Amino acid sequence: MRWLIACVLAVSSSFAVADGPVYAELQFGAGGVDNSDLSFYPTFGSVNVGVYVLPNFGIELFADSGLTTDTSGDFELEMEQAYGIAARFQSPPIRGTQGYIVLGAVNFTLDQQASSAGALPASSINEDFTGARVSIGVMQRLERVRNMQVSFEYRHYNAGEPLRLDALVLGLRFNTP
Amino acid sequence: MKMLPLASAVLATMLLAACEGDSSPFEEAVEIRELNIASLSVLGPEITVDQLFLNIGESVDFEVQGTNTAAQLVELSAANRQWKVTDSSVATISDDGRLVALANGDVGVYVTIGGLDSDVYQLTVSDANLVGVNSITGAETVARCIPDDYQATGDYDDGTVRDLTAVAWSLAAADEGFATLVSSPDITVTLTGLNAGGVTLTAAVEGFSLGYDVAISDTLDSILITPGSATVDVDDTQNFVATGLYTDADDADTDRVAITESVSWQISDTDVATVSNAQGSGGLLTGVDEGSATLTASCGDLLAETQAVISVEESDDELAFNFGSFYQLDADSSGVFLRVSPGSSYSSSDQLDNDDLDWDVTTDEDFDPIELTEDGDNAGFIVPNSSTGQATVTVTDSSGNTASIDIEVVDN
Repeated sequence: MRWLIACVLAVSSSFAVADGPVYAELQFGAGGVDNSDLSFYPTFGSVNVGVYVLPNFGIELFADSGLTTDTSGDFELEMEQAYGIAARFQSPPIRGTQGYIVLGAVNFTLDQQASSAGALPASSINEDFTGARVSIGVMQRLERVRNMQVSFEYRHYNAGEPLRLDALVLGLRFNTP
Repeated sequence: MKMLPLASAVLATMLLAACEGDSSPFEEAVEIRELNIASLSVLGPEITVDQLFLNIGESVDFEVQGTNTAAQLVELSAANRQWKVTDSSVATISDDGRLVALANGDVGVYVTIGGLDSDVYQLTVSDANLVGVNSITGAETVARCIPDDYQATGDYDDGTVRDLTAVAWSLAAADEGFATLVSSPDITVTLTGLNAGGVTLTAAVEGFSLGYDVAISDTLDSILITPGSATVDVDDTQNFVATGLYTDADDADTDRVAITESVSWQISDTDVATVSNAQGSGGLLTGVDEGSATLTASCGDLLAETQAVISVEESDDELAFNFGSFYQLDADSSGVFLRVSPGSSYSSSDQLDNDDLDWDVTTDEDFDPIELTEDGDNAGFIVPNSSTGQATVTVTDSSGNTASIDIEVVDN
């Protein structure tokens, strides 16, 4: 019983002492899109704004915007934009490090262009997808900057389609005091 | 803890969020680029009139075809594509290209594959009633045992002329010995003349009918069955081919035409062998029991006979070709490989290396109808040589065993 009380106090105190309930995060991601036997690696930026509604459980809004396209074969692909809402589950901090899982609903847009080549005509495909977004990652609190953390996560977008979209994402997170 | 219901609601929303979006255009874009497809065409149902008209409620299936950068046609699947209509109040179309007419009006059909739009196929929905059979199209004169297709069109009370689909085709009772009819699933009927003379082809639909006189010319001189004889093991098969020798009144030359599928095959003793008259396997003889029988191919009252000897014996010092003892080669084909195995019937599992065999070709024609590769990796490959006629290919193995196959080059 004493162990249980100690754990509850530890969690409560870390929430109360560390950060305020609101946070924002800037992220840079490199996506991987597999289409048939072609692979594309476009990059994107992301902004998340969230609030903790329970200790280590937050609700956040996110928006992604494409930064660079990638070319494979005759095609150029961009992850044009994404937005959605997600729930964040994170572990209590251990020496400033926390693990987290983010589950969300997402709408994302992919844009694929093929330029004309000889007699082959140009083609353009811009398609919206709605589905789930799953992230798993770790955060490390910075020692010299208060209320700031860096994060690294693996992210998967799933719209129930054969076309696969994954990403590796680096982030900088600001917590209200 | 007040936020717990909100959190639960958000999680539930995420879990219930339906997946939407279609990634197939991305894959299709790669597919058509790999096939070098420069343009797409929508193929409608076969019609003989200028434009397709539909009544409300009728449906038709569309296909799609690509043209590559070498101007060659490329078959593409019509299934699971982004089929579209220009006016969804007039017609709807499924992902598999099935259009259903909803209301009167003009509508275009097109398909988008990998971001590439096809041309637009125009049709008109006009709810109308049939008021008569307008015409029957097809050859006025046909040769015996060379099938010809016929179609009928109808007049509608909106002034349009349309192809008729649900037609009951018939010949007069007195004409039935002169020709046969086979209706196709599409709008055509196939007439095959059997004996010289004239027949009246009648199209009847919804109480309307129209007759069409067809003359059957007497240009079929004889029928040649090849091979002239054959030995077949019990339960083994042998393809026989019927070639019609036609002489035009204005042309002294004889034309050879393959009529295997349109002659009537008969066997004198079905206890010895059976022969098929089914479409696609006409002339296929199957050995039943040891003995001999006479095979007959007839076109009306014109007969050709050959002797088929059925044997149960099998010898180790025989060679057998993959095509038996006879093969008919289309003059326009790119060629075919002959394969050989030991035994009296060919077995692919015992196939000999063509490069280890001696190949030879002989012909009685003035000009070799085939060319044969005799050695190297392409040994045993025969190609037509711009001339119809017959030749014999003989193969000999290292033990001196030989086998021959007759090759007939025909202009189908």
